[in-house]
Amino acid sequence: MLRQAEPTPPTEARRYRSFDGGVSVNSSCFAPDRYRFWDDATRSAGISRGAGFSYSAASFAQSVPSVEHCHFNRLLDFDSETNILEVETGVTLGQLYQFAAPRGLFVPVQPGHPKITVGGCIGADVHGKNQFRDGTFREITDSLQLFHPSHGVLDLSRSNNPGIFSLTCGGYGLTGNILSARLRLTPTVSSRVSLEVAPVANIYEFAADLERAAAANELVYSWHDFTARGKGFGRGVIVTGTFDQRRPAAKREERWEGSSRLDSATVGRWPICLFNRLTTPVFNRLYRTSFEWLPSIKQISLYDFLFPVHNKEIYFRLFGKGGFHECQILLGPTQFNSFVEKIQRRLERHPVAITLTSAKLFRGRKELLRFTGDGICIALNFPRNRQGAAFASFLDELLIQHGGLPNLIKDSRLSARVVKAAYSEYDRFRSRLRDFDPRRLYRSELSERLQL
Amino acid sequence: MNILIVGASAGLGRCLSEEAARHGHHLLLVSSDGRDLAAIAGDLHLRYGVRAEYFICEFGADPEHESAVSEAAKRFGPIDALLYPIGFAQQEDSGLQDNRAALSLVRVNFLAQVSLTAALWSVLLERRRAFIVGFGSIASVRGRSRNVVYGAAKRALSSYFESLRHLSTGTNIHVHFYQLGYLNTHQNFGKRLPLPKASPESLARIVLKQLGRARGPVFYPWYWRPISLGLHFVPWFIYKRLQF
Repeated sequence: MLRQAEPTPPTEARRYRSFDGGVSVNSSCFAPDRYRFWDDATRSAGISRGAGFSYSAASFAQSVPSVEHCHFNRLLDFDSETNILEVETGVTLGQLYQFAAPRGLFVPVQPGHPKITVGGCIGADVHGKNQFRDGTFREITDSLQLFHPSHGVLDLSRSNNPGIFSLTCGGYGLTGNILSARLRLTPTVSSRVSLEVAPVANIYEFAADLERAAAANELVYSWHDFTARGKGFGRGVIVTGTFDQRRPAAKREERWEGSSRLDSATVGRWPICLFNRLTTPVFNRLYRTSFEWLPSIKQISLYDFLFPVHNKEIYFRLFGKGGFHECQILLGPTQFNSFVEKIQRRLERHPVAITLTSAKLFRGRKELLRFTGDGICIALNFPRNRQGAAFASFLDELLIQHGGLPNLIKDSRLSARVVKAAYSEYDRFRSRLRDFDPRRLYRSELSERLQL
Repeated sequence: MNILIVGASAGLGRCLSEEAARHGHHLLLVSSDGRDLAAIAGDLHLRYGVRAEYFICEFGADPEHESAVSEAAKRFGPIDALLYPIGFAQQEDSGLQDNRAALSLVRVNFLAQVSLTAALWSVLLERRRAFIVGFGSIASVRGRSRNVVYGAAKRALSSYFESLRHLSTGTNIHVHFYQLGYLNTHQNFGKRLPLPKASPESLARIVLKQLGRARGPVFYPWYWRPISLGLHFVPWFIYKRLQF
């Protein structure tokens, strides 16, 4: 309401925490609500921050102010012939759903929580329900506008500044502030998705099934119990999902969970962690049994399909204020069984409360620091404690031995040494970043830790 | 309804625009930066399917701008409601600034509303029901050594809206006036304030819901009414020592 004449925009002190609880720092932020904020190039070189759902501290640092994009959350334009939607990058996936679902459209590549922003998805080049078929968020990003104090506002696409476009998609916000993006939406054939669950006897015997399923379904992932011992290690299920063609696309959105209170500030409020070596096997067994009790084919709404985390938020809270580790590692198909076998041996000697193990099939070309390539992506969650830290370090060495890639946005403790060893284009990313921004204005805890 | 919102690009103005669009009203948005207005208008049209147009106007600069807005409003179609979430404060508003700076404050916080209302009054009279909503500030409750001209302009606005209510008695025009405390907008971002910041989204819901219900000035949040009343009764020998 009130227009204030100010020499510099105000900042506010913030205590930022990575979503996994691994990094907490006191910092400050701008929260601009007008485009004129970007007019003064000298004052706005702060790292962009969306919803703060990144497990890694990519949107803040102690010495650098963040620029919160919460007010830049508008839908700008829509072309109904090409299904291209132009949005500001503070728009959330939930907002996209609200717009797209009644029009029989959806965003095929997206992570699981509706409060995650488009800017975050571009910066981390996230993957979605079926990376093998749909690729990463870059695939659906037609073009974007990037602000950098030295370059002004740049229009980037595959044909216009393709090098900077490529560096920005999966650039962790280090090339500047992404102001807007044009996204390609995909028609849905139904507002309901049929989920099919098939049991898996152990972790070693599912890779072939996964590949068959990935080619034919919208959603494919597997869940495994890594607290099981012996031959049953990694037993679990493969979950596949396809649109139920008997039901047409919804005319109106089915529901909108705007009331979610999960965020990086509140996720660690519970004082203790309820996952440990005694409770976690019970938890996993109950979870696996729940698949047996439920029908092997069930229908869920498009919303539940796109945002599976929204009704499982308590899972993250159960880790308490200590937080959790997520190690997400992409392995070549020939390396996967050897990798898992070594994990099994390690867990037999030094048990860790692995609360979740999930796998997805991936396909893509390894480039820069993007988390993509051909192989199987395995994700492990476990509490952030002494045993967890030792196990995470063990996984670091194991992934280097097996030529695996760690997901930088999912792990707030990865070291520069591990990332350099794992990503063959680490130096190329670093030098291209310096070519574009010799002063390296955009910094975050992630970029400092990884020496980017 | 067709609603003209002056000061629509951010804060309360943006919340009012969103709330009005949610109710299906068509909007003519006025503010000083076309980039913000284009984004809001595009968003409201896409999400709510309403007609949302905008007009760029720098109210503090030139009185000609106000007549341009009223012309734009007439082109837009018959206006049913005027909402004025417009305001402008300066950090160096000691009351000793030059004429140009002081006039700019008075124009944005007072004269713009007066001239626009005058220009559109006859249009509003032709509607079956019409509404004018103004927004004052608790800074105008009692004069102090900060926000001097701003507070004076807002007090003039408060008096003007009281007169408008009087003038509109017996007509189809409903006049509302809100005295605002601290809102959680960019204006108060980063400031440590003695009382909590209220939600502009909640206020926008109240404003749209209360349209047409004849009431006196509304304090938002409510507790500013007793505070305001109390301030009136603080004796001068104490008041002059207060620093706020």
